[in-house]
Amino acid sequence: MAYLSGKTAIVTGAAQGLGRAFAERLADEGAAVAICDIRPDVVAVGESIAARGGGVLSGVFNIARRAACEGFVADTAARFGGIDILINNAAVWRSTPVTDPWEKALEDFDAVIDVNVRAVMMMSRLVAPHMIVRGGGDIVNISTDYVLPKRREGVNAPDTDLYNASKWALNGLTDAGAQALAPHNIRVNALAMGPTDTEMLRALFKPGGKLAHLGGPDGPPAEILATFMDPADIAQLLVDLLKDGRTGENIGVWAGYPIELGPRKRWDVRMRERADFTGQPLRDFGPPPWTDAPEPVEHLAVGKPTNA
Amino acid sequence: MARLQGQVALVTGAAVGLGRQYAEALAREGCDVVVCDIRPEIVRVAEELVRLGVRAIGHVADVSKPADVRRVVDGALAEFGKIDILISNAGVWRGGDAKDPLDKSLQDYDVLIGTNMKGVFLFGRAVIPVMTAAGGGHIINIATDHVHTHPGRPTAGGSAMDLYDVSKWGVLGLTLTWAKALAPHNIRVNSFSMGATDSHMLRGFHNNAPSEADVASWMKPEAVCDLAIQLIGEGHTGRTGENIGVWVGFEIELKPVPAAKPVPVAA
Repeated sequence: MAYLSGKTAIVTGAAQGLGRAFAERLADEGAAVAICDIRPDVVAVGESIAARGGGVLSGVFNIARRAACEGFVADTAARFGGIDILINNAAVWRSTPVTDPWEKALEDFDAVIDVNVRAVMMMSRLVAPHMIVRGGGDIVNISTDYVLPKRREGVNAPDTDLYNASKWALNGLTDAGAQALAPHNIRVNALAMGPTDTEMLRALFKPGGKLAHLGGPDGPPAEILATFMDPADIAQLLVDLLKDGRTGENIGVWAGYPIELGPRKRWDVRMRERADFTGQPLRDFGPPPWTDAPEPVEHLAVGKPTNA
Repeated sequence: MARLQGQVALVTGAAVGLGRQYAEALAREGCDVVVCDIRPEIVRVAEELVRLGVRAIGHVADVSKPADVRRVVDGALAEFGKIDILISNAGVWRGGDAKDPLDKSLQDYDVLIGTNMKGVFLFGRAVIPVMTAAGGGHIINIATDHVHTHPGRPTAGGSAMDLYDVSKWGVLGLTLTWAKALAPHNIRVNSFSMGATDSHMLRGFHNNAPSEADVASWMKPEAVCDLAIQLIGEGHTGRTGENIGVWVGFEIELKPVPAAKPVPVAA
């Protein structure tokens, strides 16, 4: 019997890229999947999953809208009898230079923070009662390795203050959420993702994108593409995480390193990668992360389980 | 001897507690000060700052409201023509956790993220053009030690802190990115990861009647204010992008800036 048979998973932002890979893999593992996106393409993703024999509910709506989130969660629970897994994958990225005009800054704050933070909070709050009824569950927030640098801080570009702030902010939901929900056997973790071969990243290399000078009409050149992680590998990591049982961890997923959960982190550094991390940024801005040369993996000591 | 003579400082949340003490410390160092707070007492606070021999303006303002932020910053520019120092101190706390009903969480979100994170964003974005045009400046954002704990303590303040911690982690993200973006403009951006300090907020947690033992265990605001003055006093070549731990039980001091690790050349 498939591992997730009888379980229901919600994946937000599932029309493309990582969200789609997560939804397909969870369906392959036997879960019924409820997928949503602001892009109508999510319906076609749902149809292709249904064609492989899985239970699917697709929703096209803006995740920042409370009523839409409430309706989707209620529909999912009604259709499949409960909710066991929530993957908070939907996110927006915008270039937000600090020198932008005031009016753009105001608009950017709402556009980025409402989706990347407020919607994650809303969806998590909405599913928690369903998971409590089921006796357990998993919430996985999709973050960025900006907030969990492997070997140096601050790989984000200077024009990403709001995106960066939004992903740092997720640490609060992951950490405190894990503690509050642990008595109900609900785990909350985050994947701090490095560059992965998704539409969001490819678009940066296409004409009009921020890194267009490095790419072309088809996006990034082969040598850069080769350094991106494969969404299928990240989906495997997600399944490993669901089976693992840890909670309250920021899990680093870095290009050029083994894609693996690694040992459970010591309880006092579970949101960080290095005990000495103080939040200092990179002092020289260096090359973008995908040209980093891999460095030997040095894990922190394995300690007691999280939330001990 | 006033160390910051002639500079203009803006302090948010300055009607009470630490914010007011930052403003007084800056005034004693010779700064003209612009203070704001949601509390009407801020007008009287400004009057008292004037008695320290500097110019001062007080605005009643909600830092989460863009129009209020513009009014404070534009008013400061009209009066003083520049802003050299910003201390984004205004902050609020509410308890709540992941089991809360959505209605409550959304109310908490508006208050906590609005004041603690959007307020920092708005004031930063409003003064950054002023500072870049002037060729430099200092921004200090006030976060919490939940996002940068002393060794051996877990991050986060506990399950009841989630939206508060969300707002303060967000502040850290802004600090780090601004430091990087503004380094070429001689604008230094740092944050304080504050532990328990004798402040209006902390006294409120103890129903404004803390025990002597509680108070004795807290950090003294004078020491924290002095740290801010020292940090600003480092000048335009001082540290930036540092999330400075200000922890109970540890020396309240600026540690030497660690040397940047060499970045290996890509293969």
